[in-house]
Amino acid sequence: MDRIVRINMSDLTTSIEPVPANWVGLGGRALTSTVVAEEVPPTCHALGASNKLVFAPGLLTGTSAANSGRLSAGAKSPLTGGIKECNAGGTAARMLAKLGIKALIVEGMPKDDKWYSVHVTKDAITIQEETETVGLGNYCLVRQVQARFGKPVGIMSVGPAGEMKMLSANISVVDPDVHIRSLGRGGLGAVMGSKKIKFISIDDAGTPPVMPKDMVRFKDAARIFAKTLLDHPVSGQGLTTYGTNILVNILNEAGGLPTRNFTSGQYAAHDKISGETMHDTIVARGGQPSHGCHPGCQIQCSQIYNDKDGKYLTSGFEYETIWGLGANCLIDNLDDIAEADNIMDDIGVDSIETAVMFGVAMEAGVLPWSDSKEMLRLLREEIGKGTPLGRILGGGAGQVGRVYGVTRVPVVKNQGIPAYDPRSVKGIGVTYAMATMGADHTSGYAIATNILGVGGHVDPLSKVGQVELARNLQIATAAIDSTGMCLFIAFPALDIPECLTSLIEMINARFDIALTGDDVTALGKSVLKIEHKFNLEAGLSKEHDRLPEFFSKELLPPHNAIWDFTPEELDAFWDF
Amino acid sequence: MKITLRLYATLQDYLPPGTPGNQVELDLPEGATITEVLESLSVPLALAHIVMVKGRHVLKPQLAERVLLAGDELAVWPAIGGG
Repeated sequence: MDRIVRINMSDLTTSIEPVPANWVGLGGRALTSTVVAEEVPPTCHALGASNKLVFAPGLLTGTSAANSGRLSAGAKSPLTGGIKECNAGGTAARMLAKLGIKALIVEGMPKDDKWYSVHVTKDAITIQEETETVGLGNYCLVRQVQARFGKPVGIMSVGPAGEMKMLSANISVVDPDVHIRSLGRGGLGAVMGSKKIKFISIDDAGTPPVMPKDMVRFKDAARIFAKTLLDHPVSGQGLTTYGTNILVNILNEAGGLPTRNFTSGQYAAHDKISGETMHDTIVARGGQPSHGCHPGCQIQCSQIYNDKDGKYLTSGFEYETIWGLGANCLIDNLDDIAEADNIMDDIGVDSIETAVMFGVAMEAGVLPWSDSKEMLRLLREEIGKGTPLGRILGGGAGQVGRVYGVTRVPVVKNQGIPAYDPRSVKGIGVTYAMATMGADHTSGYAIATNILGVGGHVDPLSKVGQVELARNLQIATAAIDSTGMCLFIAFPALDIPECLTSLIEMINARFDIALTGDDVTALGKSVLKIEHKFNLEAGLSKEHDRLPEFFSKELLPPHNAIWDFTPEELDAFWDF
Repeated sequence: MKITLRLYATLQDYLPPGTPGNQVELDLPEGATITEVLESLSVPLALAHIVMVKGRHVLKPQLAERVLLAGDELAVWPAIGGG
């Protein structure tokens, strides 16, 4: 029987409640955003007692459905001032689902200055004071916690950045190999830190797998669904072989690879940081070019990247991180970027926000362009240790721009713009402008249709069709984020009709209901509207649905592209 | 006339043997099309999922008609993705 678990940090109590009727059909992002919208005052301070941090597995999490193990987290964001939903792999989502926990809601904050952990089992939820784990980086922490329990418990944790409530702080989620996945964006780590929780551990011992109500129907649908993932060349081959970093070269060729803090769309040293180079390096050093971020992942886009001596350096090494410290900061040393990725996971900062921040910091003269050694020092010695400079840098790109008087600051709603220049890839620009999350490529991944030829083709350099594309993708994404599915199932879903029909069939068999495609679209629309309403009430008006001024003033080589959407054209996004 | 061809990801295997990196300069007869270039290197057209000339997409139905010009940069990928 599914239930809602509340952890009240004000009086250090826990409670278990039945699922309210209007939450029964929700999961993942639909549920976390609904809880935040219903229970968090939009104008509250995101780091105060009124904010709530909500974790939820998706509708299909815990079943045998391929790629269904994503964990959603939501709160009011201290970075954007609006609603925030992140999702990540790892083992926690599956464990929560097996425990029948539909949502875990952390509320209030302690009156004292102590740190705490929360341990969740099928029999009890306990809050315990923490001392020896306080100040630890995530890698050391997860090993200590698993050693404490003597088994691979699920863990959500904050590193030093979260403890210091930095706006770029993320929440780490341990993966099946005791490496780190991240609920990355929007400063959710600062929210967890404000509630003085160092980590939440989950032990699902004694719980059976999640059983669909109609197992025969479910198995048939799951088989078809898994086959579509295998059959599509992107999810079945491209992502598995090269990971996401294969995008470096194609964005460079298209003139959409933001370079030197968004002043060019091409990077001369792109080959040194490309997916092809990374793949060859991983293979030569005995790493793993393919790796799953959560149990049941079939796509395997993650990887294990070793150093020159064949020792583990980092994993889950993503395109956006490599772009951000690479082309964006003119660093062409993949090993240094990998080391930075590891440090960012360890101290617990979002690698996109931090990379965008470094581009602004280099423009400000805080460190020279392409100085990877100084970048590593700043991560380790300043941000990681919370020096005054580190706390400025840990506040993200917008904060550094304000402190140093930089005008070229690529943020929307104060969140750093990732990896794709909106002037030469206009569909993703509309997503950046309109997303309820602030600049977030995953909200509506128009790169698929603008650049990759998935779901048809919309010319990336033309305005025609981009608002409609971004709207439709954001609606679909909000629905997918509610299922617990990895967003990369969207690649086959855009091209193979059976992918989506089998996904809906799995949900229907899981709960013995009769959703149609229209119902799923309606769910996506509803999620976006709930989030948009929260943002409006929090003070994020339509004037915040805009890109920074410089995108409309500075031509982007090589196509000399410019951001030329009118406010009216953008506002039409919400006409649904 | 001379053009530059870049083949990415798994398509690099179709470059002439001994080609350093993923780029080769080709000397083509006037009027050569993209399809003719790919066929000359035995690149299966079914694998040429993303094609750009000077950073602009050329869609599949246009490959057989698109005539290349001197100095063009042709880039080709199989189906790839990320995000």
